[in-house]
Amino acid sequence: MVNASTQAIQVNETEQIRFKRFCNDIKSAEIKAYQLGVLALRVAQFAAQISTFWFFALSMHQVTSYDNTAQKMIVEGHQVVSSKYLLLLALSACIWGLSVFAADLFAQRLKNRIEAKLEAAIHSQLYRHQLALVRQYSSAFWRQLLLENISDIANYLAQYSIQQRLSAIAPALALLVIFPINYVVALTLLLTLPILPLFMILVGKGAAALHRKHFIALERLSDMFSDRLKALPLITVTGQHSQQSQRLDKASIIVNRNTMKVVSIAFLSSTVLDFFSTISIALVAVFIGFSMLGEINVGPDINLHTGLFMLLVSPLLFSELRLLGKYYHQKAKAEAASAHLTAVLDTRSTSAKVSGQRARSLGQHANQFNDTDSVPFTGFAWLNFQCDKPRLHASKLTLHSGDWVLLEGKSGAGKTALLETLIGFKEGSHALQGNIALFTQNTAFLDASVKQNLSLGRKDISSSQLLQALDEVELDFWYAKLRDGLDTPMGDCPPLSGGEAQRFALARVLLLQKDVVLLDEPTAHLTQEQHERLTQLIREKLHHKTVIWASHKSLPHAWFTQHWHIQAGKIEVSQCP
Amino acid sequence: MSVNAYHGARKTSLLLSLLLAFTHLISGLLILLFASWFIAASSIAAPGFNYMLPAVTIRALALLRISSGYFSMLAGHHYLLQRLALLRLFIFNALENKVETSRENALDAMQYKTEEVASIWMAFVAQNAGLLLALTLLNISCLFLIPETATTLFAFTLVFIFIYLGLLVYMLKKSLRIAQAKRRYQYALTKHIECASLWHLQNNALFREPSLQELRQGIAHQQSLIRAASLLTFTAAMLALMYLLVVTSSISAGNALFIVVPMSLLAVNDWLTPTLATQTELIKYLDAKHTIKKSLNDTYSVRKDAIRKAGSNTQGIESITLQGFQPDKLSSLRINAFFQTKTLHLFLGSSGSGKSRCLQSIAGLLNFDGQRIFKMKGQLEAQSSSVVNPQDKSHLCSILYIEQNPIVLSDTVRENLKIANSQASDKSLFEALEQVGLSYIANLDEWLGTRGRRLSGGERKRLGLARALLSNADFILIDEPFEALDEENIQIASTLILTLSENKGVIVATHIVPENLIQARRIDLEEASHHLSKNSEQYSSK
Repeated sequence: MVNASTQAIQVNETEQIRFKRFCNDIKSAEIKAYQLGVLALRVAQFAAQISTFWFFALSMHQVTSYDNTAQKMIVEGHQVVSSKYLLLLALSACIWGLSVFAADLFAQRLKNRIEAKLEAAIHSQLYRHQLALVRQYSSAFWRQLLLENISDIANYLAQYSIQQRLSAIAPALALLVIFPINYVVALTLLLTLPILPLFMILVGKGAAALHRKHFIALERLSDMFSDRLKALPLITVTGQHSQQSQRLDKASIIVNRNTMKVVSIAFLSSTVLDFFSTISIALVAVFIGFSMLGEINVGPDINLHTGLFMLLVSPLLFSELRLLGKYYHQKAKAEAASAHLTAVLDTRSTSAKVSGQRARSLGQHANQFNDTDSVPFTGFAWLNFQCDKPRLHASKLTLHSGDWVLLEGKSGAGKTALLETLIGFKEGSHALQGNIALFTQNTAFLDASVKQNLSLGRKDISSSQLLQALDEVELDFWYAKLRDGLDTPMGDCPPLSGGEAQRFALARVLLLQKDVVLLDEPTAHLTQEQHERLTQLIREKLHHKTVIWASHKSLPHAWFTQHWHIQAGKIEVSQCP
Repeated sequence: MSVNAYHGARKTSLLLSLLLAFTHLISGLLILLFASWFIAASSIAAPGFNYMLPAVTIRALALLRISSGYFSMLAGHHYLLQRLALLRLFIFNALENKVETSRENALDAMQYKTEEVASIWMAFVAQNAGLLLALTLLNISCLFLIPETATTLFAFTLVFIFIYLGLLVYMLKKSLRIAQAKRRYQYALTKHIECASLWHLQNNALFREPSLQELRQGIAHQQSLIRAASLLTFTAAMLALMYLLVVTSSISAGNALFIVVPMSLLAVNDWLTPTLATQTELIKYLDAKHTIKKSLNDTYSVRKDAIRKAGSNTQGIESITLQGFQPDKLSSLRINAFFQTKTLHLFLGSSGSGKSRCLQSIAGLLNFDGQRIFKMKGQLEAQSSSVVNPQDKSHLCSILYIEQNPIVLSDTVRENLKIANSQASDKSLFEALEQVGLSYIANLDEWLGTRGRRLSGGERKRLGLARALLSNADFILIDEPFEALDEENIQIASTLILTLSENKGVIVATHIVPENLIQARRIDLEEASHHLSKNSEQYSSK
């Protein structure tokens, strides 16, 4: 038990380090400058607020003590407060209001910058690794990453981390102002400052321990609602709705009871702050009042001006800390978000192993995916080919233009990884150059017309070429049913069955005239008949191209010039006669 | 009765937490005003000024503020949790016999949408109502105690209410745009990720990544409105303060009470302007409520008529006949077929040919056209024309559908198995696990799902088969049981399915035919659709 908890703490520490490193990686000079700017504005706001309080207290002093000094002078409309102080009050208030506005504005801009930066980084990473990265996570993960995690990080950097620094500066500033006026008040307030974090840490630890105690049960049961919603088909088909409803009800009662236990402790930490700031007002007020009445005679003399000023400033000692407490959840969220983001963006570990030259060519390659004018494929002969995750190695790989390679290996051996390395989605020692297409078992359709779906945006393909391609892959009967021919939106077309959709994908490859076609089990999900039909068609249409074909299902060996067999991380090459 | 009591308890808990929230807000303002008055009064020190009472009052207010702060958080949270639990239970029960497989995102969203709905009282109502209450109290007490400042305060109050309502109206108008932008983005992103296999083929001109820019701008605009409203409120307060100091102060000179109004104006940034930002909570609430309502209405209801409870049907289904059967949204298929008990049937077709939809429609999970006729046991052949309620979408409990990726409940192994048969004994559960080769999961109390033991794809398939073994259903429909299994496990699964078909009707949708199932009766969906497309004239869509 003890072991487990120390382990958890260790994990936590490394996570903290990772989180810090991640934040440092994001912070460019521009973002740092922005952060400093916002901080400076917040400090200016704080100073202007104190100055406003000073002149306000002065004005109130003048108003209240007016009749004591010159009772006879009261005339309707006579100005009681001197214009100089009024002007200074107005000026400080202006600066205060405007600096609040400006600080909020810049914080918002900073947040937008960080979000835009992270968004661009994710998209460039996606584009660089394409399927190799996309297929690792669910669609829901990507949605969460872009819609929530980015904002979580941005909120943390634009609000929490600035507030953190401000909450250290503000109490010092407030004390510094009070000290010359009345050292007794200042000293009293100073005493509370170290007690405050101590209490908060104690309370926080208590709540965390309680939370840990119920952690697993809470996590499991609180997910139950969304889990059972997703399981509705199963629940319906087995007729277990009322039983599951009871189970949900029981679970929520348990969760709520335990959550209340945890929060009743956790809320104490914000109550500690509330306690000190409220008590400080009460005590300062009573102390000041009694001093003025002559009941207490400690420290320098106090009049309404200095008394009111101290009353106004003393809660400021705690106000920034309270705001920090309000933003506290941002930190937890940002930590969780950074775990997701580093998983996607972290290229350090991999790129460090890739030689500089290769890294550069990968960078260039990113632009070449869609470049139709790239160099034609002429073949290669590589020595010591290798890649990571899974680790694959070949002492020699050669490929001539027009070769047909059969790629074999058990599922999980790394066939997909090899193809992705060859096309350049994954980092490896070598990558193909030229016009390459990867043809997998998932057929995707753009939310666009049939024409766009076939030509994929290339303008130099004529309609007759498109029709011919559909004809070649035996989809002419399907085309005949389209309402608006090639301009029919894909969503309005009669649905394509699995085999038909793959033939459509083949038509794309034919139209784009790629030199090298990598096939990653394009028939895995098809029936035997459909498999034979598609493979025949592929052989017929691509026999003059360079092809690397990964397949579980049997293919005629006579088609191939080479066999690549992956076994235990080794790629074994055998030539076919 | 207990439900009523529960509702009563909930109402009291709401009232209590609202009351505590008001107390917290008002005592906070009051302590500041009272303390400043006390100092001002002390500085004048009129003869006979009883200073002990105010000093005690200040401390009492401080304690009231602190304790009401803590307990309002506690009561508010308690109420929130209660409401959330009830709301979720309500949604779950409203979805009884409704199935929505295609919109998993919407279901995912329920988790936090319900939170947004449930938190409206504490995050918006308590604060805004408390604020208006405080403003009213301040105005009234001003009118009686310091009448010379009442006009200024009232004017400021009016200006603030104008700003408040103006912001609310403007935000409500704009909020729709943000919600729409978000939906558009979600759709575009999902589509973009789906099409990842096309990126490397796509021309740069057509390749466009979905951008968050529009959404960000919308939110930034919303924030700028709140910022502007806060600045306006602050400016109005400072103008009112200046007016008081320049014009009214000469009348009030020497009156310690005068300080109350300037103090409350000076402190607007503490107690007034933060409320303006809570208006986003209202907008979230409205959107979430709308979304929940919509997703509850959009779902397809499985059984409109009498529902058969599990175990209550004494008659079993003898056979199922499909006539011109056409699953929803699958216009390319029209099936005529006959399925018999104690027989194994294979639905052949590649992925995407509609096998899953066919099975789901037969099970009644999806809508369909055409006829699905059940013949019950014990009925004579001659009576088969008088079919049992042909449009009856029930019989779910007599038909068990095993998904392609069987759903794993976030729950114990026992619950995951007993969902197929709630009466099953632990012994039979162990037997079922043994038969499908999952005997290494020896602890029935082990937690499965996202926060427990995670099952691999193959293990999930076998869990599905274990459910099939335990079930009392007359017909078992199994979706792709062999996909992504190795030879050995295909062998185990197919043997089990053969055993299963000795007692029940079994329909298996697959694109792989293991050798020992070659004898089974087959229906080739790809051929059926191809046949249909060639004779499209005959079956042109209605």
